[in-house]
Amino acid sequence: MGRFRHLADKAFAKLDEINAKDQERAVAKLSPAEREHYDAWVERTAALNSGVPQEELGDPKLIGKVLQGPAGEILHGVRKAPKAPPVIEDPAAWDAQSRTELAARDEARAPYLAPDRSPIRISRVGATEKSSLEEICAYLGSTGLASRSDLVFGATRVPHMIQAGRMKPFGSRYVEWDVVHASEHDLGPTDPATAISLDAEIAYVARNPGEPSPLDEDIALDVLTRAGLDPSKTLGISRTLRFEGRGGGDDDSGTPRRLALITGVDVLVPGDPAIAAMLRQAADSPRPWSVPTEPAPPNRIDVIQWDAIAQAVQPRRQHRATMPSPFPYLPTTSTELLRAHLEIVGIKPADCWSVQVTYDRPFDLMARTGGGFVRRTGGGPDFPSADGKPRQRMFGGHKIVVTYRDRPEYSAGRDRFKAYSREVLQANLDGMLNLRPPIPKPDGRLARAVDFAGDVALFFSMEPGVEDGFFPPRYCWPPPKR
Amino acid sequence: MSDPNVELGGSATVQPGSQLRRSRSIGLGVLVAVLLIGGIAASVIGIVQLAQNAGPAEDRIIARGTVAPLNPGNLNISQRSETIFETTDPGDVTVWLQLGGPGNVRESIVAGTACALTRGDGTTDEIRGSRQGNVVAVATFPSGRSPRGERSRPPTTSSSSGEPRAMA
Repeated sequence: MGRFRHLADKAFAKLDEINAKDQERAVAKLSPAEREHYDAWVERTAALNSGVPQEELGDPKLIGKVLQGPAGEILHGVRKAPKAPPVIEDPAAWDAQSRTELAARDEARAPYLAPDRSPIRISRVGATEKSSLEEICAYLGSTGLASRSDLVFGATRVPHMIQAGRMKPFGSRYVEWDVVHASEHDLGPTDPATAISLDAEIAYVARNPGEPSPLDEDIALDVLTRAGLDPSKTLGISRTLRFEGRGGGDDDSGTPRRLALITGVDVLVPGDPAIAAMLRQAADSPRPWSVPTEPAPPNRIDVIQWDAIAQAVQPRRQHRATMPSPFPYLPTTSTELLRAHLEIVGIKPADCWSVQVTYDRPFDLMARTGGGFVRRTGGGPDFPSADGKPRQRMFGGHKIVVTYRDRPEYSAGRDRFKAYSREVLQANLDGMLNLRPPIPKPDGRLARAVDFAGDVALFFSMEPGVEDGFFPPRYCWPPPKR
Repeated sequence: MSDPNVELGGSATVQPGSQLRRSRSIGLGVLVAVLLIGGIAASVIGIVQLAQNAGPAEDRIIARGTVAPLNPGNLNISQRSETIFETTDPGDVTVWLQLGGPGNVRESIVAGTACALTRGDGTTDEIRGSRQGNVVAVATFPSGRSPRGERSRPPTTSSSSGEPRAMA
């Protein structure tokens, strides 16, 4: 009997070992966001097992959610929203209410601000899509900012889709750029800035399946540092943005989508011929480049969530934010949150490689565009554009990305921003970012052959097929063959 | 919604001191103008041609006549007139009315027009405009009912004016 029991114990121990290994393997395959979610649950379970009361740990519905507090509880169904006051439709009254709420938020932010911070101005300019990079370089020259890169935090494409419901010839769409700088007076015209564009479809780095995919800023930083430039000699890193309509027919269950896609990265530097030559030389160097998986110190990339807040304050992206705000402690625009980050961390423009409100993965702008299941591109009022012409727009932007050269004082600033996020905004703005997801394994020959056969069959049957939903990781696809 | 954090700076190319101006291609502008003017002219010519060519082709007309003077004062039963024509063509014969005026007036005129047919063998037939759904074509005599040598007397009218044309 004793011998049988011993054998059974050994068998169970072996089974436990196998299960533990399986679990380890499954966890290793999780994406960064899934891993964060999993860790939060493990932590909560451990806390419960150690006797921490459930009330102290909060509602489990808020685990892994960006918004906590009243906004998180209402959006994630912990409690029902209270009866809202009538929504302000009149633009003048809307502006007045907005300014009142903004003043209250500024007051709440004041204790967290960096004592030695730079002034921040965000100048928005209009351009034509296909020539916008050239136009923004000219703008930086005409304002003199091109020669004072030490005053520029960054120049970046505005992530809104303007006049989404209008058909436009390719490249002729009106777009906007934001130039975030600290110049408080006119500098006088100078030579235009210089820019290079790096295409996301080119494999600049060699990464194997399972390794982290690079961020756009990782690639741009690598080029800039190899060119011998520092943030005081840089005008911005801007992810190249393209909007693409998909679906809406038989190919995608009739669900129309307007996808914001990142197709590359633009790097802007002063127009000094020597700087421009160094940058081009670095960009033309033989591939693959040796890009570290994280930026090499002292460089740093801060990414914070924006869309989660936008969902709470602007339920329909082509309409004004709800006013009075259901959550007046939350910023109503992405630029307000960006400004808050810069002012609280206290980043100086001379240390700043770039600031952006942008996208990471393909992002469907048709979400949050109508009531219930309705999805639409228009329907909202005209909003002021940079060139003075009112236009409809779909407000976009998923994340805020700030790339800078770190300093010891910024570490205290980051702690202040974390405290501000937790205490005032009641949000985990640096959580669930899913940065640098692992590179997937490419299809084998058999899968590719089956796909090809399917494509051929669909072509001859004259029936639209299901659209390709695979978006390869940028700057590293396909992985090198072993 | 104006964003208080943002200063609207105008168009990137329309800045004092800018070395870049929005390019306007003269060639493209001329091409657009030519296409636009050409398109308008082609449309006008097309419409005029269509109007002129409405109804039967000239070489197929076998007779013309005025049913009643083109005068609204003559919309009077006592002043009605008729046009008589003959054809030896064995094919179908269609009587057309060339009319002006608003659609409802034209329809009234057609409704008030009748065509009387006398065939070669002496048999007769009558088709009344009031039974026609078309404001232009009053009657079509199928060839089977229009033998060679037929004689038609279309149309007599009770309240209309117009110029009937018959085509084979």
